Amino acid sequence: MKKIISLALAVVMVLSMGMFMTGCGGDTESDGLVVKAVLSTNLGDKSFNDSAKLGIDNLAAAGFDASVVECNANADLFEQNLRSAADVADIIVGVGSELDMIGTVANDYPDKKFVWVDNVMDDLEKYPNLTCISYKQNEGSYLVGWVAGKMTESNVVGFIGGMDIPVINDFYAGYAQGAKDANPDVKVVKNYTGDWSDTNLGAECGQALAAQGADIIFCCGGGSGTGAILKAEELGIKCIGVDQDMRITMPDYADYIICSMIKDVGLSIEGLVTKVAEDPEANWTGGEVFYAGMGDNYVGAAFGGPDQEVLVPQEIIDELDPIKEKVVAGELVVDTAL
Amino acid sequence: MWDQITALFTVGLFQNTIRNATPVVLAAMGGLFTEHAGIMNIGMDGMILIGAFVAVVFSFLFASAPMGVLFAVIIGIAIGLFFALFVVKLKADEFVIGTTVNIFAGGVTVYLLRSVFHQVGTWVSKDIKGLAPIDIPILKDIPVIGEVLSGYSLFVYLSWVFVILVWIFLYRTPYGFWIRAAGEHPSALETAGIDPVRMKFLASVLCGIFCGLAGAHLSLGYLNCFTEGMSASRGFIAFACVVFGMANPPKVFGAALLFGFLQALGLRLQSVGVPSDLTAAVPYLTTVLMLVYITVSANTKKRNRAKKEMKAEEAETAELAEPSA
Repeated sequence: MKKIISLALAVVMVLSMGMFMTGCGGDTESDGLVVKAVLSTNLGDKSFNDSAKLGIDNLAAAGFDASVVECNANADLFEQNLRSAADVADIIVGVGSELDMIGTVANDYPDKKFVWVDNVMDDLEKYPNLTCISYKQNEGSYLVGWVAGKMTESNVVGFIGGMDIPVINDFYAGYAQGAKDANPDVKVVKNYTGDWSDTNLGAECGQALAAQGADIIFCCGGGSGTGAILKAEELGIKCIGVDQDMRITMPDYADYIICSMIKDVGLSIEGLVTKVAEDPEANWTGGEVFYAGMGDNYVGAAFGGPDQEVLVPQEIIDELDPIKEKVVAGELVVDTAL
Repeated sequence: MWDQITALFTVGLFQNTIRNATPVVLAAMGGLFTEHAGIMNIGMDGMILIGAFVAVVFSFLFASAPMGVLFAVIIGIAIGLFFALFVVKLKADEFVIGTTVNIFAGGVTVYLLRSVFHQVGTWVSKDIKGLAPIDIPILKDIPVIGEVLSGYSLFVYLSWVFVILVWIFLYRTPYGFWIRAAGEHPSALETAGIDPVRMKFLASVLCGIFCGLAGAHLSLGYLNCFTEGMSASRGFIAFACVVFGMANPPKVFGAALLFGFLQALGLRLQSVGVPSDLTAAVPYLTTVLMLVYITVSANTKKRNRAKKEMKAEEAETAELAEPSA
């Protein structure tokens, strides 16, 4: 009896797998290019990853067969998911600094195109079918640093980083420079949570920075950074969001977010893929870095949705445009940690 | 430099210590029951995570924090029973079941959050009602001490009361005695006519309740939100505190406080220029060092006691031998 049941179960499993696979096969037959984004962590950070998802959704709306795969920070899945994506997709987008094996995978699939977001491979020129998107987050951070420097009343502004890593420090470098240029008396204090999802720890960082006098805090800690925003009312601080316009993604707390530094991961993925689809030969930057800067609005500052009251005085917002022009023209060089 | 370091010792540091310690204390109070009952429970982290999730869900549905807490406790009982069913009744490997609980908790909370509530990552809503902070009359008016000891959610004070209650329960009531006996010498307990299996079930359910409370505190006691994986290994830290405090409630409480203090201090040491990677490791490094110290000192104590007993025995035999000589 047991044998019959287990046999039946095995048959069912094999059949369902077969059906699942044919299901997958059907997907690839659509007309547009197949784009798969592999996230090393997961959706829901209300910033970086969700922004990538937005770009992929826009691509899907534009007729591409685009979708997202999450690895939930499970290191075993990184390479597997990249490879399974490469089996079916034309363009594979790796999102997350942990996906450093993307070069090896790219070598094994020479006729596919790979994009690694927000990280630059050391020996990138060796991978003709891999391009790395590098953001000028220091430039965008300069703008919000300027706003913070102008708006602080205590002359102390804070910074919460997820980890002490070059990308996060690049945010800090631009932010600190912007704040100091706007207000020479300003002092910048920082704290790293060392964790991307411990919300309580982010709130504790907020308190530690507020205790040092900070009244405006730039939250660059993913999910842990949102902790400071949740506690902003009690601590008497205002926060600056990151990656996405957090006044829109966290509308309940829009009163405590003065602005957000936009690192439009989605827009850059969208822009790159659309360009490549138009002309795969000329627009493909394989083996080179694709710099996403202020010129194409891939980084910048945002002040909330159209129906939200803007918390930053208009005269400060007006000051930002000349700064943008200077940065794009190369007259103003922003500090970098990369 | 010295000024900078003394400037770290603010009221915020001690408030942070207590807030860090509370979920760990609550979970550890549960963990020491299973520890006494002879079950190695590494599933506490998962129990906390599920408790945190359920608390937020029911606080959201009923717009009431107490309902959230109530359901976190109920689900805690359910997981406690589940755990005991497999570990005690069906004699499955406790390590495997503990790991299962942790993985299951990580998966099921994310799945339900996304499929039922259509929230990804962090669930923030004004409809999630948290536990209001309570000021203790009189105490709150004392400068510094009042600020450090007053103004938390109910759970913080409850955790202090629980430390005493759990101690009384374990060492001054028959049930506590039976739970300890179930772990140390089950056959003796059986001879006395008490079923050790039932005592182990009781310990496991109590552990579930405390972990549920710890989870509810984590999600409703301070921030009123749920983040995927928000237990952030606190269950393991609680387990370390149980081992560390030799499953004695006041000692476990001390261990949790020490841990919370080091974490809070580490955060602030960054402002003096200590690298954040190092400060993040401080609590764990201390845990390892203290564990080594405790094991070594316990061993020396044992050895000394054995030596003393041997000497006493020798003396006794000598005394006995003398008259005959």
